[in-house]
Amino acid sequence: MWEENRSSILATGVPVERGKPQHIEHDDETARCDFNVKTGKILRIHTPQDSFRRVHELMHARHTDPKRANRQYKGIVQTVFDITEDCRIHTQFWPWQNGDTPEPIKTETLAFLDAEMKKVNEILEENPEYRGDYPDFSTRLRQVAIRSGMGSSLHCCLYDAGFVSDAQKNMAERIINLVRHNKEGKAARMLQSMFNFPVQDGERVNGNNGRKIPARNGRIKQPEMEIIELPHTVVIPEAKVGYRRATSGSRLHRPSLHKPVLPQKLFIRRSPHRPDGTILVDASSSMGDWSQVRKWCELAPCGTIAYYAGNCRSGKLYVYARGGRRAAEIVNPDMGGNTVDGPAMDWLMSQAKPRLMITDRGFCDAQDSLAQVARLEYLERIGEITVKDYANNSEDD
Amino acid sequence: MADSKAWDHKFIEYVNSGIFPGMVNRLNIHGYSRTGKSTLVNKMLDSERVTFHQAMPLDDLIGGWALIDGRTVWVDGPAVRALRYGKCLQIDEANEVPSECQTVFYALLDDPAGTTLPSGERVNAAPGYCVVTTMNPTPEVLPHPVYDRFDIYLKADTLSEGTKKALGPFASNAEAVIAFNQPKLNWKRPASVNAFLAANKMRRGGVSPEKIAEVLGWEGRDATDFLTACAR
Repeated sequence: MWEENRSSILATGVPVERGKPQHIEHDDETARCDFNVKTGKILRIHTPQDSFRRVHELMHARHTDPKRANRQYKGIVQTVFDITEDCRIHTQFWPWQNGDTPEPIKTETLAFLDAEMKKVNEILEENPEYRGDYPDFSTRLRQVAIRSGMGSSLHCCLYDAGFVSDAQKNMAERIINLVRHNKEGKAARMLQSMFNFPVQDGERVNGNNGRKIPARNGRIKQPEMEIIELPHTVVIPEAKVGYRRATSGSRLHRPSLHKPVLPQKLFIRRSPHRPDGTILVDASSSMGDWSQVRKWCELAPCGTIAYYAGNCRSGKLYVYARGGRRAAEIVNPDMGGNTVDGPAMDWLMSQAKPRLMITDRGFCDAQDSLAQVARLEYLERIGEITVKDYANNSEDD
Repeated sequence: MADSKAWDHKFIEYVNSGIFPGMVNRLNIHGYSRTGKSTLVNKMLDSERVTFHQAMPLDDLIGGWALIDGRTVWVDGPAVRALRYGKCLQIDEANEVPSECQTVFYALLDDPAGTTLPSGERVNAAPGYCVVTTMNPTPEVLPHPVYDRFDIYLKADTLSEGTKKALGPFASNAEAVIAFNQPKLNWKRPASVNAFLAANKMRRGGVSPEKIAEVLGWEGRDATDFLTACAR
């Protein structure tokens, strides 16, 4: 059920230059603002009955400008846009100074936030695998933005939010600081790259307006990475397709036929090899001795082995082995930094499964390094990448 | 948010705290009959009192020429006395605005109020001048220019303390039938220019936003909407 509030007090809070919106009151949870995309003016404010979301929608009506959003959030998927914009308006535009929020609004806001977290915890109890996923992270991130916007200390809010890991907590802090400094576009791209959003057909992507979306698909500008395919001239012995003798099969083992007494294992079968998979080795100096890359080839003799390093501005990724062959020599990258962790991870994600990354997780040198740490953790959690912590397990190798 | 108080308690509080008259000067009390509206106002503010009816001539409101000792002399009506001496002009049955008095009534409700007499004299409101109107129906029945001039609306839906005292032991019996055969009082004050003018007068007088919302008659969701809409 909805009804237009023709004498809305709330709608008087929208500056006239933003438009004269209709105020639609809903009995359900509907809460949104309708904008005229061409003029940027607000047409309608839809609110439920609780104070917090009425304040929230009024803040959108006052401060969300579709034209600015199109510029700032170019290539950002809708869900990331929603969360980042929410964080922006709450950290920058909460209508009251620190601690001056009127008591009834403060009470209802805290009740709303508690109810939201309770709901999240119930869902996580039933589906613990969702912990740390985008909905979990983004809900906590928005809670941090709301509470800190109301005047609580950011560090307390981050601590109380209960992020799944320190990497996510650090990432949340970085995003909040970016939106506080009007860098919401960068924050959104960081958030988007952290969770590897595939853009579905028909899904709304901000800022395209009929124009081509930048190829980086909303991710922040990353350092250049050159991919070098080393000449794969040496056959890896372990990569040979092997056979074993068996008691049944479709192919005979011919030499056995010449034996005076026929053995039971008269047939041959192909050995069960895993012919594919990809290993990416972080070859930055923090990894120490990375020359064992040849040894790692044995883990996936038929797979793809690569290593990468950077020099703060750009980086190189060397494909050392592919399809059962490897390069004769390991080319030393002569670079000691990480720099291109993001592009290298992009490359890894484009390769065949299973994917193994050997790294100490000490990503640095790039503006999205924190995001990439959180991204790696997320990809590990959802089973896309297995991470072998080289620094801790080097003795085993 | 403070608990909702009875209308008469609010009225007494506004008078005692200097919100009315002082910061704002036009108040309407509407509600059930026999609740003590007119008596309370008259007692609290020692008002110049007049009752509207459709056939009322303008003279009854502002005064007129009278033949005294063979000379024509101007005699002030209640409205002019209130303007001149800074008193409260109390108008009962304000919904019955006589057509002859309508435009003068607008002038009496202006801020600052004043009127030009047929004698040519201009009378402006002296400090302390205020207007209280009482009536039974909800304010929707008032002509819009009148409706949008009031700063405060009070809904008399309970018996005043004075009426309860007069009723003695029958106060609770009377309270039980207070709405019997009476028009419904389901009117809510909408946002209007004058509401925000009044809000600003009170803000300049140091009244808190929560109190302003209460004085304007906005409670619950309306109060939080007002606090939100006015916060920057």
